[in-house]
Amino acid sequence: VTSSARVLVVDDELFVREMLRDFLTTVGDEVATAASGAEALEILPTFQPDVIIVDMVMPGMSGSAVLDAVRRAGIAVPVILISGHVTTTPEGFFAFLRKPFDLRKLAEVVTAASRHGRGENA
Amino acid sequence: VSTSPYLSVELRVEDEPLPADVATLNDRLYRHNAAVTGHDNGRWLTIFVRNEAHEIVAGLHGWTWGQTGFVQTLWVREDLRGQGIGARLLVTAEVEAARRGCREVHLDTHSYQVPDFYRHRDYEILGELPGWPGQTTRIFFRKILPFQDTEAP
Repeated sequence: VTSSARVLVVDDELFVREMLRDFLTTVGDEVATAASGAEALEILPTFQPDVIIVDMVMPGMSGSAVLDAVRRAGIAVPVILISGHVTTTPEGFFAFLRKPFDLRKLAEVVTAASRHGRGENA
Repeated sequence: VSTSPYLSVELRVEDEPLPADVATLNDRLYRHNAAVTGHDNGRWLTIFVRNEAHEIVAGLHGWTWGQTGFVQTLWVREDLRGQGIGARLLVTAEVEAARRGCREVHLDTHSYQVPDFYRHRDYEILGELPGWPGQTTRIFFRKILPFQDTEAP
């Protein structure tokens, strides 16, 4: 699976950031990571991701708060939620992957999100 | 040296066995386990941290087999503790385990070491063995990795 998207990963857990950077880079994506919502919002204007992957439960801003802040900034980038605590896709997210999940599935969702963001058919 | 009256083998108790001899035992058992279970993907997972003099100042040793990683040893030299080296080692091992297709990581530690280090990193306690050694407790942990690579080699 190759999506070749610019992906911003927002998660307070180092393992998640490292693993997703490692994997998504392998499948051809360009990846930036942020350990918090605040850090993500700082990176956003310069990195200009095609897709954001965000955890729901984080110290400070939650995944939903990150989504709200992104939308308030007028940025329509698709946001994918990853969480072990949520059971259904909260409103506004492009997709939701419940942990634990298969990385190949994530790559597919990132590809679909990237195409959606560019206005292409998935 | 003792000789069994029933078997024509020699049993020798050793308290300083050669590492190569221990490796032979481990290898033979692994071969048996692989044959019985059909899982023959066992690999060591070892990470060393060395200083400018090439001395080992920290490291992690374990293995992956089946869809599980196991951390046998995690050590950081005393004067380097509190700088995040242990966390970095553990994360690196978890990433490598996930890359190899593991779904979980196991390890055990003692109550006098730093069990909170693992609790804070999403490790759950599977069981405890009190009284070893002395008044301390051996604690068994497991972490379910949040994702796997199902096409891992």
